[in-house]
Amino acid sequence: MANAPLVEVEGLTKSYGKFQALHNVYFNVEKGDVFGFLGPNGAGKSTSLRILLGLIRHDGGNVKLFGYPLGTHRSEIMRRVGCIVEKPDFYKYLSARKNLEIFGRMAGADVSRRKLEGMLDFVGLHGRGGDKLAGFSHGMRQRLGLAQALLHEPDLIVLDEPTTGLDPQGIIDMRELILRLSREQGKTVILSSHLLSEIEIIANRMVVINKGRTVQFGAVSELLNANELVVHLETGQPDRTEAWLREKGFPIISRHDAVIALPCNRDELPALNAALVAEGIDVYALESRRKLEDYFLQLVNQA
Amino acid sequence: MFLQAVYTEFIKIAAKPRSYLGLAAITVLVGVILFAMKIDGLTYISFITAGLEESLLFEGDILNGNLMAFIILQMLIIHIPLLVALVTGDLISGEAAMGSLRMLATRPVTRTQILMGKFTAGALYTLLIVLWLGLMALGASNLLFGPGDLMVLNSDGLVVLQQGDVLWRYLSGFGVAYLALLTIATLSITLSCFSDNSIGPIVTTMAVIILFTIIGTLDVPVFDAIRPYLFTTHMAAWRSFFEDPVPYDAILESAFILVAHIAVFLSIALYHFNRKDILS
Repeated sequence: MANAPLVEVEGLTKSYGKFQALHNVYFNVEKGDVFGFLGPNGAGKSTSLRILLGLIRHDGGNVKLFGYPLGTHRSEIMRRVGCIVEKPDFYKYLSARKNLEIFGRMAGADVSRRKLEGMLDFVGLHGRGGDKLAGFSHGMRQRLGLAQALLHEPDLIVLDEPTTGLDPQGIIDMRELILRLSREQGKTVILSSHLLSEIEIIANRMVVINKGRTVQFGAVSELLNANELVVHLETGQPDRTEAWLREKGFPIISRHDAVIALPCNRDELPALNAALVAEGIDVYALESRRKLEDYFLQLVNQA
Repeated sequence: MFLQAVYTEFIKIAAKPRSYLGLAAITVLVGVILFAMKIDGLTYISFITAGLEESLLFEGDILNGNLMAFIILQMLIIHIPLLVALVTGDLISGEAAMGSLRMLATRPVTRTQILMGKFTAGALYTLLIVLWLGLMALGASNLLFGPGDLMVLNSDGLVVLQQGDVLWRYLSGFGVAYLALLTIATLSITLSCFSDNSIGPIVTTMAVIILFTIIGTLDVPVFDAIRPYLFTTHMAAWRSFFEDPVPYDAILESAFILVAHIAVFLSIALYHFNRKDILS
């Protein structure tokens, strides 16, 4: 059990009436991971995370955290988990400090004034503890959400779209906070997002889910291998280009009007361009994307 | 952890402005009734006793604090359920609407502990309402009108209770009235588990009370079988303590039916809340 993954999810299924939200979601999170949970809107990210946190009952599959089944050890597990699900919703009629105290007490945390003020400082809300939540911006609430998630010193932090609705500086600050938690405090973080760029910056491992299924799972560096590209080629003679590419043995992924998508290594790009020009084909655009990035953009566009 | 749940629930209740509506409403209503009675109470009393004065001679100060307290309770006890439901009907659904239920449910506490924490806090709030009503009705009335023998007119006739024989009846009556209000509180908490907006359970609670009261008062045989088991039939059981002799068997039966309702409502709430997908 000592070497078991921190989170193990196998064959997760969930339906709401006739709508099957999750078909087969699986992934593992190792201790110390900043784990990206990636998928287009409506892919099943929030449903999966809510199941992980015991907010929703799953129909099938296995969920284990810290080596224990969620179904039978929920309270013990949640003692070691801090989370923000969607946006943090607090009691607007209470102060930030009182809100922290309430959620801290319910998690069995130290809710001394010193501890609460220290946590408010950590998330950048120094001196705002006495202010009512009604006057807080979205960014400030998000910071307070992080504070309540950390107050009981959890080993695992689950953050569902933590940068949604934040301004650019807020997004940068939130990313830095997450990275500090991982690097300085050794926390394991699960982070959901519909933005690949965000996961790429923060996470070391990730799962991609779409339509309730796991479609990719592994190390970010492997999944986003910079050498494996998909090239989107736009020329003045698309039919001739397609025929030439097939003749030369290039596997064509798709063609939309004058744009042809094909896999290509980064090193081969200049030679491809030169060969097309030499063939008398007018190249208007040669846009390369990494394979997973291209795939993910297709998913997002489909959604 | 359960005590923490109760404590945090009470902090939330104490911080909500709507929690003070009940106390403020009772204070204002009692004030209005006492003011009206101080100005024109004798006319009101003579209107009631007019039919009896041909056969009975009334001596002494009939319009005293104990009678005022009884009149106040008679008038207000019908309206108190709304004041209770206003707070207890919001305990789960209000948090679901606000989104804080999601955060609460991710704490290392069981759903049963969350619900029982809310139920206990709701029960304490209901007790506070009853105590405030009692304090206002008995305290303010006796301060303003002075003590005296209590004259109660009920369906069996006129009962006159000695001044020294009244206080224990009030205290016991408040106990049964509290059970009735706790039944309302439990019903609204149960309905609150099924809703994601705070108005629904409050309105539904009042609708159930009105419906059951109508069924209870409609003198048609079709409802005879269910009438004794409706909780609304037993909400006025507190009045039985002002009969002579006190019908203890009937009071115990009422108390048992109210407790049974509380147990059934709470069981339904626990069953549903423990299985509920928190999506809000």
